[in-house]
Order: sequence, then structure tokens, then C-alpha cells
Amino acid sequence: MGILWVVVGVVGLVILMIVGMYNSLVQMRVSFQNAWSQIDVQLKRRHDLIPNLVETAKGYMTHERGTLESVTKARQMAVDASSIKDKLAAENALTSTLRSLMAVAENYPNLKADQTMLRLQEELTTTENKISFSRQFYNDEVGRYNTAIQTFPSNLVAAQFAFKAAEFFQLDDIAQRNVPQVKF
Amino acid sequence: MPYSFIEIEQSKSRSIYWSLAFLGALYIVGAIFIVGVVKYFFFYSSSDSFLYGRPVVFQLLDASTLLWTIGGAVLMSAAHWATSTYALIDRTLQYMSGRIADPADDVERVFCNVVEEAAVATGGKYRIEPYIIPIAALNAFALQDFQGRSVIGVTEGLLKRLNREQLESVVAHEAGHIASGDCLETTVTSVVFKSFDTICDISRRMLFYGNISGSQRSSSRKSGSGGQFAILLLIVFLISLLLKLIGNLGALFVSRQREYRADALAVRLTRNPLALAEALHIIDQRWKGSGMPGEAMDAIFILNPRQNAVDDHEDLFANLFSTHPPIKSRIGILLDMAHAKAEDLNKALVKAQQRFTSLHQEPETAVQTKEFKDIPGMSTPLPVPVPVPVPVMLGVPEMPSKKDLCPRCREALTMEKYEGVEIMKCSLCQGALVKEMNVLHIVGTKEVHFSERIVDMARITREQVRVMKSNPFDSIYDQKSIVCPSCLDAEQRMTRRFINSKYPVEVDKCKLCARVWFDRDELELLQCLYEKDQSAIAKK
Repeated sequence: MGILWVVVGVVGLVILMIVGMYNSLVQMRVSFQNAWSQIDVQLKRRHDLIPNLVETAKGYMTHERGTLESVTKARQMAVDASSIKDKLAAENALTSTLRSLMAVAENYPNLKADQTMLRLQEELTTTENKISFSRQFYNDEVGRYNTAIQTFPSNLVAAQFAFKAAEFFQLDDIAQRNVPQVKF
Repeated sequence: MPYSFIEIEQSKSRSIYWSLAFLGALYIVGAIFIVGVVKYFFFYSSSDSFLYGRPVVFQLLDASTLLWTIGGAVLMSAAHWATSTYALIDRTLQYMSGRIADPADDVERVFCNVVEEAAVATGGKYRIEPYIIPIAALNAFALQDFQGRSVIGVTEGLLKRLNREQLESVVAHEAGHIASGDCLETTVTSVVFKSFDTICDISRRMLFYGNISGSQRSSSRKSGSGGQFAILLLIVFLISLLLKLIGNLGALFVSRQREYRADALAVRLTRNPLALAEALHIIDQRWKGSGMPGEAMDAIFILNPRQNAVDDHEDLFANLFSTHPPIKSRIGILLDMAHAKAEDLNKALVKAQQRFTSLHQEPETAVQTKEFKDIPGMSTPLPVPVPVPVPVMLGVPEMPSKKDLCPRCREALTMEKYEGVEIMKCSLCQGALVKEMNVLHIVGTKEVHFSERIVDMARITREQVRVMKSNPFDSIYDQKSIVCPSCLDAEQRMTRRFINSKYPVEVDKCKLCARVWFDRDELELLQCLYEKDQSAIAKK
């Protein structure tokens, strides 16, 4: 009789643990998805800023049609990208074209002094910073989630209910915070 | 070091209840003492003989009186707690005359953006409001209440003197306080124990000046009932002075370690320890806001605004009663993080200075080109917050080897004619050494043009009188600073202070040779202030 109770108790405890682990995994998944949507908001904001930036720069940079067009093209690619993998690639490309645009803009003192341009640059800087901060936060969350689904005992629960490892948001050059040099 | 902001969030400490318990204990002890004394003086005659050999006060209270007293004290401390924490953010900001930053203004827009970035970095969990204190001092603070409302505030002086990276790191430091939860502790502790300070202040003013505002008006009309009133006030004053001293014990609940932690979090966020080191150094070299209304809440600020703080010491007393760690060790840790030495910080500051110079010269040359003039709305460049180059003294040899070297960057000073008198100027940091008798001459000469930033700083310096508890001149300082480049006396250094009580412009004065060292901006600011005054008089 006593043994039966012990078995029932142990089974009950195990079930409770599984439920708890399952719930915390779901919670972590929701929170990194939420963090991704935060990045998305900032990326969209960057997409909205670029046409204005290109338009303002056009007035001064008469000899740089190629650079401006590549920025516009990269932006379009980033807007059209749907899967996370495509998005990462497109956004990375956009970041590097923006960086080269800013490098070229250094040669145009009149452009650098333009009020609209200065405001746009400030907006772009803050958006880039927000992207990088929300990326940090997203990666923290993904790291937590990935650790949980790979460590014992929660990996058993994860495998049973098909929790898949999530992808980090990595940029090409990880060593530095990836902001185009818009300060001068 | 916690791994992420989620973990910081989880490891929040709750020493707030300790300060609540302390407040309760304070009231209970106080109440027992007062009731005991009152009973002893008014209800017992000297013939009562059972008092011998026991502590008088405790013997005087029987069980039921004791119970009533303690009950009353607990109720009172609860009431104190409730009133001082009610709408604490709004009231604190009002106390310091804070206003919300205006995104329409270009400089304040940068501040708004930086605060938003910090909010994003903490996962969008906190909505942080950007506030500005209209004084020319340099400081920053964070506030949080029980409802989770958070505020990051900076002074106007800070906003005008730091560049974007430095501002980012300062805001990240404050965001670190908010995310790690110690902001709530310090806010509540400061607000609760600040009440004693306020009572003390008000009663002193009423006692000495006859009204709350502290201005000297004759109060001869109510002289009839004045005597008793004054005695009452004197008692209130003495009691509150005692309470204020006890209230300073609130600092016991504020660990100075949390500043190191917030610095570390700021670096985690911005990945830029050098910018934070620069910012801390610039703030440390300047007027940090002593004499402003929020001074009593020193724990909420990034650097202690008080003049007589014990922060620079490492002993046990300092550990217990100071709210901030020594600035040198904070900067030292940050430099270690950046694998940098003090000279690197010097270089970084000089670089920032050069960037500043190029920024301010280029638009001027551009104005002369033709096409530039044709575009409407282009003539005035955006007022960008710019760095003040105050190179760090940590790495530089303390004692200059020869005369006439810049006390900040050790460059040779060059003789220059300025407004008709000779001054010694540093070409690198734009500082200037002026004979005190020549200052008046320079200031008196009419200047045509001041940059927008100088005019703005002059406006703030003018308007801060409204905000300050007293004239900053009274509350500030004769702090030993740099070695005078002219007389090279290491013992008798120059002193950092305001130039006079009317124009609160910070300078370094040498008492031996009567020379004044102006850092960049300071001389222009003084000229601008004086000129504004003259033109105001002329209008009348």
C-alpha cells in the first residue's frame, strides 16, 4: 500500500515538473518572439527614413547617383524580404550601403551642414542604436531559450514537444556595434 | 556580473523594507522618549521615590501607555511613509523645477532619443520619461516609483556640454540603476528621509526671516504673538535638526557599490567605457549642483552634488555614510575595461576637441561659397551638443616642469592680444590665463557675436536663480584644483569657484598672483552674461 502511494507521489511530481518546464519553455519562446517584433519595429522605421535621406542627399550629391541607387535598391530588398534568414542578409546589405553613403557624404560640406540632413542623421543614429540594442536583447532572450532546450532535463521536454533552437541575429562584423559612422 | 537584463531583473534586492523598518524604529524610540519626558515633567512630583536606580524614562511608562505610544508611533511612521511616497516622482521633479524634455528642440531631441534607446535596451519593459533640470551645473539622476514609472533627468548644463556618446553613456548608467532596481530603493529612501531636511529648512527660514520663502521682509506687524511663536519654532527647529542628522543615516541603506554596478551595466549597454570615463571626468571637474534643491537627495545622482561629501575616502566611515564611490577608482575601472590608460583618455578628449573645432569652423568657411548662400534655411548650423575638453589629471605629471604650460594639457601657452589686453592662451584646449585686473577690461569691451550655444548657456545661468535654494555662490566651494601656471606653487593651488556672486561662471583663481584660469567657454560666457545685462539696462 505504502509503495503505491510513493509511486503515485513520484509520478505526480514528475508530471508537475514536466508541466512547469513546458510552460517556462513556452514563455521563453513568446518572449524572444516578442523581442523580434521589437527589432522589426525599428527596422521598419529605418526603411521609412531612407527615402527622405536619399531625397535630401540627391540635392547635393550630383556625382554619386550609383551610391544613392544602391541604397534605394538595398532598402527595397530589405522591405521585400520575408523569411528571417533573407531579412538578416538584406538588412546587413542595407547597413553596409548606408555606411558607404555616409562615408561619401563626408566629402560634401554643404550636405553636412544641411538642417534636414542633420535631423535625419540624428534620427538614423538613434534608429541604428535602437536596432542594435533590441538585437542585443533579442539575442539574450534567444540565448536563454536555446540554453534551456539543450540542457538536461528540459531538453527532454523540448524534444518531446518539438521546441526548435532559434536563430541569433548576427551581423557580419560582430566585434563592434554596427552603426554606420554618421557622426562627424 | 549578471548575464543579461532579464537576470538583472530577477536578482533585484529589496532593502527598501529595511529603511521602512528603520523609519518605524526611529518613530518608536522618539515617541517613547517624548512621552517619557512629558510625563516626567508634568505628571510626576519629585516626591515619587520609586525612580531610584532605574532608567527614568522606561520606568515612567506603564504597560498600557507604552502600548499606546508604540501604536501611535507606528501609525505616524506609516503616515510619514505614505505621504512622502505619494506621487513621489511628480513632487520630486516639482521640487527640483524639472520639466519634460521637448522633442521639438534639436538638442533636447537628442536627449529624448537617447533615453528611448535606453528603454529599448532594457527590452521595452520600462517607459522612461526624459526630464530636464534648468540649471547650469552638470549632473544626471534617475527616479522610479512603486508603480514602475521611471524618469531619467539631466541638467541643462550637462546637455550643453556633453557629446552624444558621452550623453549615451550617462543615460545608460541611469538606465542601469532603473533596470537593476536599486533606483526604486534610492528614490524611496531619499524621499522619505528628505522630509526631515525640508521641515528643518522651512522652520529655519520662518525662524530667521519670518516667512517661508526666505526673503527678508519686515514682520513687525505680528510682534505681539511673535514671542511664543518663535519659541515654538525654535523647538521644532531643534527637533528637526536632530531628525535631519538621524535622517542622514538613510545613507546607510544606500550602498556605494551600486554605482560601480550601474557603470558596468552602462558599459554592457553602450560597449563604450571610454565615453563614460570622459563624461564622469567632465562632470567631476565642474559644478555638480551644490546648493540646488535636490541636493538633499544626493543618492539619486550620478556624482554627488554636495560639496562636503566624504566620497573620496575609502575608510569604514566613508563606506557607511557616503553614497558614491571615489571618482578616481570609478574612472580607473572604466579605463581598465577599455584596456586604456589615463593618457588615452587625454587623447580621446583632445580628439573630441579637435572634432569640435572642425565642426565649428567648417560652416563658417562654407558660408563664403556662393551656392551655399542660395539655399534657404542653411545659414545657421544645428546646435549640436559638443564636448568640453578637460583632459584628465590622472596620467599627467602633477607638477609642471616649467612656467607657462597649460594646466590642462601641458601644452605651451602662447601670448595673445584679446580685446586689447594680453592673455596666455592654450591652442589645444582653448583655455586662457588672464590677470584678474584685466578681466574687467575684457568683459567691458563690447563683443558683437556669440555662438548660439554660449547665448543658450548664458540664458540658463541667468534663469537658474529661480530654481536654486540660494545663490550658488554661497554654497560653493573653494576647492583646490590646478597648479597655477604662472607661480607654480604646488602647495597653494588655484581654487575652483564662481568668479563672483552676480555671475556664477566657474573659474580657477590663483590667490598668489591674482590670475584667473578660464576653461573654454567660460570667458565667453562671462562676456555674454555681462553684455546681456548691459543691454537690458540700456533698454530701461
